[in-house]
Amino acid sequence: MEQKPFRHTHAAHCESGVMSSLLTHAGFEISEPMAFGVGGGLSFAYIPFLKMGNLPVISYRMFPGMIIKKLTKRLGIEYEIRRYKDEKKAMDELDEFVRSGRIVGLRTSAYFITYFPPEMRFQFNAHNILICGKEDNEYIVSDPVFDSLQRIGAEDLRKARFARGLSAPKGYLHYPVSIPSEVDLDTQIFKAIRNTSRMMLYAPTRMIGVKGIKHLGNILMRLASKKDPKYIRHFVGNIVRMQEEIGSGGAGFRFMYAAFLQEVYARLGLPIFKETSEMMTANGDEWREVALACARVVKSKKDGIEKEDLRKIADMLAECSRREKEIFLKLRHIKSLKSEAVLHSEVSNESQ
Amino acid sequence: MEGEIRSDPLVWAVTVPVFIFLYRMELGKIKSNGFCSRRHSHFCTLAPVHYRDKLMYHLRGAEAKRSGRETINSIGAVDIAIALKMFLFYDNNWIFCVSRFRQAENLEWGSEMKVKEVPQDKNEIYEGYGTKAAYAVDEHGQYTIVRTSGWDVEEVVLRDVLNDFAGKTAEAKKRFMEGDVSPIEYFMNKNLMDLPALSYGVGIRKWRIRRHLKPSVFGRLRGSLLKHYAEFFKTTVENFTTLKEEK
Repeated sequence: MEQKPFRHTHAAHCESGVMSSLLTHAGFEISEPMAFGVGGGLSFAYIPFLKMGNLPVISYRMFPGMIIKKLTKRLGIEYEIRRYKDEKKAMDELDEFVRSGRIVGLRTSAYFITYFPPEMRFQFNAHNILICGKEDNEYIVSDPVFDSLQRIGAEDLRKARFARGLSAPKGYLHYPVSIPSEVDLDTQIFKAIRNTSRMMLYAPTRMIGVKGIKHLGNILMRLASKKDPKYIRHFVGNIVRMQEEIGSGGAGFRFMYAAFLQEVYARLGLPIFKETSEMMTANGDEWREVALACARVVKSKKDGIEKEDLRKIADMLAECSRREKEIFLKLRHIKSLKSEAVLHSEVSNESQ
Repeated sequence: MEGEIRSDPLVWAVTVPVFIFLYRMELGKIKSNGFCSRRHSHFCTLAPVHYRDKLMYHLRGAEAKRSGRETINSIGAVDIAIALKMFLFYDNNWIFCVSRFRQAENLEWGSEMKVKEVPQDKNEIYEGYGTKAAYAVDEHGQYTIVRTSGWDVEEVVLRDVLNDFAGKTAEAKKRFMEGDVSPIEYFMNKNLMDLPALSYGVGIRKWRIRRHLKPSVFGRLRGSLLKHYAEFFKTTVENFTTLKEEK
């Protein structure tokens, strides 16, 4: 096992940050936006029947764990994922990995993480971290959301790994076993982008994808007449929290996806990626405007909620939906452009 | 760009109404169909902030629709406004300033999330816990990770939720002191949970927790169950049953 010193990287999102760190350490250099994009992380879903704090979940990314599975499957990396029933066995195996110098990723609950600010310790079972060492009775944690290494006591980590609840972690542990010498990243990029576009455009229900964004705006308008102002304020605040607070790199992962498209452009040189990256950045700005408008509604000291304010937010959401539709319509036939990419690289090789 | 403000009052008397006319020409229209969200700071010298935003969406959108292309190369009201502003404020070299401005605009295609514009609002919640990371565009148009101390929007929204819980916690404490409810309600709200979340987290069914909320039932609970609750609430059994150490 190569004993390369582990370098902590500050990332925007826990899951993609962990994958990028782990794979880079194992010898396959991959940045966070690339891990996010190829793992098919971008999404949108308004799930009214799934509630967190009595408010419907609004998710800007795919299910927790999808990035890990999809990324490693697409890249053809031999990967080990373990779940445990016995807590003691889980901690013992973790100690063994640490002793042998292997860096492993864990999924934990945010409620028991002691190095989090107390105001952020919500009941949330999908926080990803890396363990890179142990000193005395404390584990050295590389949490990509933080800018430096953190520590957590063994007992707290055990509780965090085995917290109960929705999508309980069950001691989830993962690490790369071996990386193939030949990884066809280009093909997988095309596949991933096409997959994401189709999911955003053609999802069967109107609660997912670009339809979901517009639907959320409609729901907001319906709320204006039905529910009391306090609930509306919380609902509107919830949109923002899901977008900005839960480490998304800004604008609900849209800026991260734009960074991914830019990296793909740098790698493959097709102008469509440059165009869509810029379009996605502009779309991200629009999402930030939504967040700002929602924060204004939350902050306002008036007793009632102005229907006009909600209408503005609904309009902005419709605009976001329209823009994302445009972007993904462009990217949907990306596989047919693959041959162009090959031609382009041949041409650029010839001209050099 | 160095410049002198034009001093001829007649020029101002003519150009300022034209400037205002350009605004009013666009303001009454429906929402734009374009997607450019550039912000031109030159407008803020003469108009309130929200007009600026609305106007930008309209002007760029109208132009995009007319030209049928995403890139804006045609001359529109915005460009006339830029030229007017340069004319007024940069008397000696206004033509040069206009061309430089247009050049600069075409270079960066318009992202608000530029590195220097990433909010660094020093959120209270992150105080002492370091920075968060966000993606932003640098002056060459390349994405890079930027450390941010927070955006006040996040703080506002989170504080709203926390204040709500703080209110519920205080009320729960009062009701416990009056003997109306068991300590579970206090600790549940203190740890930012509602009943379903508590049920998931502690592993006890919602209907049982509702029973345990009654002081009469709570008084008869066995020690192991109290210990289970107390461990989940990260406190001692004594503190859990009597709220002794709670301020």
